[in-house]
Amino acid sequence: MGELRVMEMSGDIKTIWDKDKEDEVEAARKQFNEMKKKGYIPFSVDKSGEKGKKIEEFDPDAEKLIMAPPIRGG
Amino acid sequence: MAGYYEAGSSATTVWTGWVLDSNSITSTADCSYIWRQWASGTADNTTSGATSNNIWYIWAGQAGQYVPVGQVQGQLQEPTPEEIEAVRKSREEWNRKQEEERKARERADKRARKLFLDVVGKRKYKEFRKKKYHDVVAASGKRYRLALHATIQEMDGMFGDKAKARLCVHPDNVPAYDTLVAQLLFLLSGKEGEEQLVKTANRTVVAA
Repeated sequence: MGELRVMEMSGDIKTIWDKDKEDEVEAARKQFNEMKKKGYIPFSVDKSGEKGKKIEEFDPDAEKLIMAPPIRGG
Repeated sequence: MAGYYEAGSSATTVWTGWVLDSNSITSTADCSYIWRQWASGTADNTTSGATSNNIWYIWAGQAGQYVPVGQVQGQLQEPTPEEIEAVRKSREEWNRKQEEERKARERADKRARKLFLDVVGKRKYKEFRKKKYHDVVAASGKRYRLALHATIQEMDGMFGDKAKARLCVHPDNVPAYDTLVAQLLFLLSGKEGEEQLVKTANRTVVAA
């Protein structure tokens, strides 16, 4: 089971998918692509949180994806 | 009132006249001039027996033209029960919205804390709650210190509390813990992520 967490003002929005269920994968992929168009930056993170990486494409095999809004200097 | 508003104008109140009808201002003054004078509270643009303060006082409660303060003070109308009720309802509504927003912020903070916990794990989350900071060693080998509502600190070496630089960089419009998570993800995601974060940040070198 994979999960996508998208950061929002109201806290993150969580979407989960079963990689064997095509409709769930497509729904998650669609949300991923929509947020990416808005400038969100996607990261793939392992369950331990020790390692992460920036990604460009939706990965249905990922354990956890987190999308952060664009960053700026303060 | 001499110099400001013509008696007999069709405007409902002096205020309306000023806001909507520039012709109601007499030829001796213009709007910006009057506003400027009134805002600065000088005695200019008042009748000889008035001051800026009592002009405001009367205008707030009196429709029609200005008359000397002594003739009007006893005539200010008490609000009607309907007006009092309307104000009470308005206050209640404002308080209700404030409470809703406070609860929404609480929910958002809780979700963001949970995301941080999910990313760093229980042990490191507990450490963070105790120490109030979370240290990360990025791909470059540099150690960064993250804290809530604070700039990222680029630390001097692997140990100790001495900072070399401060980096101000964050996403907009997310709860504080989500800011931590975003900073952490950039720093954990290899050289490219670290470089992007540092390049975007406003960096201030800490004096030795």
